[in-house]
Amino acid sequence: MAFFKVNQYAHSLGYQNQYSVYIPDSLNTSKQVDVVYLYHGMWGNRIDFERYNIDMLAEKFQVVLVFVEVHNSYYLNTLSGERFYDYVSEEIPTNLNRIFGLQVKTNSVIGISMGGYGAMYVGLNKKYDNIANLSGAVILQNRIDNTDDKRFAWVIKELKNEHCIEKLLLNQVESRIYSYCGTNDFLWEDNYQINQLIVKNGCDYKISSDDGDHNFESWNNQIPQVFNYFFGGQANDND
Amino acid sequence: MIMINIDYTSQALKRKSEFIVLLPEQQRVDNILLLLHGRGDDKTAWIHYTNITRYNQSSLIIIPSGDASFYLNQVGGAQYQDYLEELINFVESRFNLTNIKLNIAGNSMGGFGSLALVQKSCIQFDTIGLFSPAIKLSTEYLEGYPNTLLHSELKSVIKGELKIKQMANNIFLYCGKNDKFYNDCLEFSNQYEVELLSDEYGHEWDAWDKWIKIYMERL
Repeated sequence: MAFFKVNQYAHSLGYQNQYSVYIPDSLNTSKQVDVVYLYHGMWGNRIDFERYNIDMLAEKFQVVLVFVEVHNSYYLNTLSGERFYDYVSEEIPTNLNRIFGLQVKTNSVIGISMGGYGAMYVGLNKKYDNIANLSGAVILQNRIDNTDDKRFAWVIKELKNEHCIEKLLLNQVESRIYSYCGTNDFLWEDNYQINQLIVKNGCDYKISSDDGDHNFESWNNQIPQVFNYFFGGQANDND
Repeated sequence: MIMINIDYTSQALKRKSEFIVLLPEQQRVDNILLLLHGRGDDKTAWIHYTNITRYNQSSLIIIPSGDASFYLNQVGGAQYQDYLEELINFVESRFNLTNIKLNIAGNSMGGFGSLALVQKSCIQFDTIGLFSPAIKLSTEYLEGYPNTLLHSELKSVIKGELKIKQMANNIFLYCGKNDKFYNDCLEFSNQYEVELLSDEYGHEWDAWDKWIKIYMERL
């Protein structure tokens, strides 16, 4: 295995930031590759996903993993001038091409909580091939209305249609969407509403639920299923 | 400057190893520099004690940890020399770099490791940078050094005379006049007709910071 922890100046942010890249040794990167971005949640960073055994799934499905880090920005270009949306959706892909020479076959994104919002927001706007929303804070208006924590308030000047997943889902969606939320999760209602729109949209989707709460115990159960949904057709069962 | 810490499963060492890759922020990479640290240090030493990241214009710098191995294949132990070759191949492949210049350099034990690899390997290096290299290893120098199995091989680093003679013009040799290795370097310089660069420094980082800058400007 090889795990690359990159420290690099981020033009979209104005400072040196970190991201990590996992490339299976057996993957030939002179050909086009499948790239999976992993979006952490609030209170988190890229290490949340690194600690999970997600590299075994990368080996099984022969994909490149990219662990990004965006503070509590909701993966948006923020009021403070840190352009996290540009960073994850444009600057990092450019870096991957420049440093590792990666040519992309498919883009996928898996996000938890705030990262679930980010996965839908970036994935739908950038027309990613696969999107997984795990217990996402998918209705931004509800988060704005319900939070009394001013540290998290608020990253953008005004809420526009492009920020609202419920609006984006009114367009025709080419991405395949995996959407999970447990019934004991405080975001269950938000996800229930979004899932209705996913079903209505007519895109390829899989909706999953159990009695899980808002924690990694629930997400760890889901992540292998997400990979199976994304890449199941090309899994190498010999591993 | 881009710094990448890489967790990597080495076939040669048969274990996980971490190494560092440094890349210039803007410029195109047109050469690889394999940079080896000295005894008692690890992969972070060149970054901590010198300004190589500021001096670097166009190199992809690979810095592994050589522990106290002298970068040799150890009898019944880890194959550090093979590890260096493995790293070069891995980096060329993963960073999409082919047919570019390849350089190797190191201070003290790292200078020894550079010479040893150049002589043994099929890989062609364009330049060798030797900063106060440990060329002859005296008994005193090796005292307290744990891998006693190595001692006989250590003393005979200069075996491939032909290869060194062929590369003499591309060897950058520095040693300070107050360095314990100065006389050995002088002898090496005379024997192989390699210019010896020198000043008043001893075996110390101030010297290597000054001279690595000059070496890197020539890459």
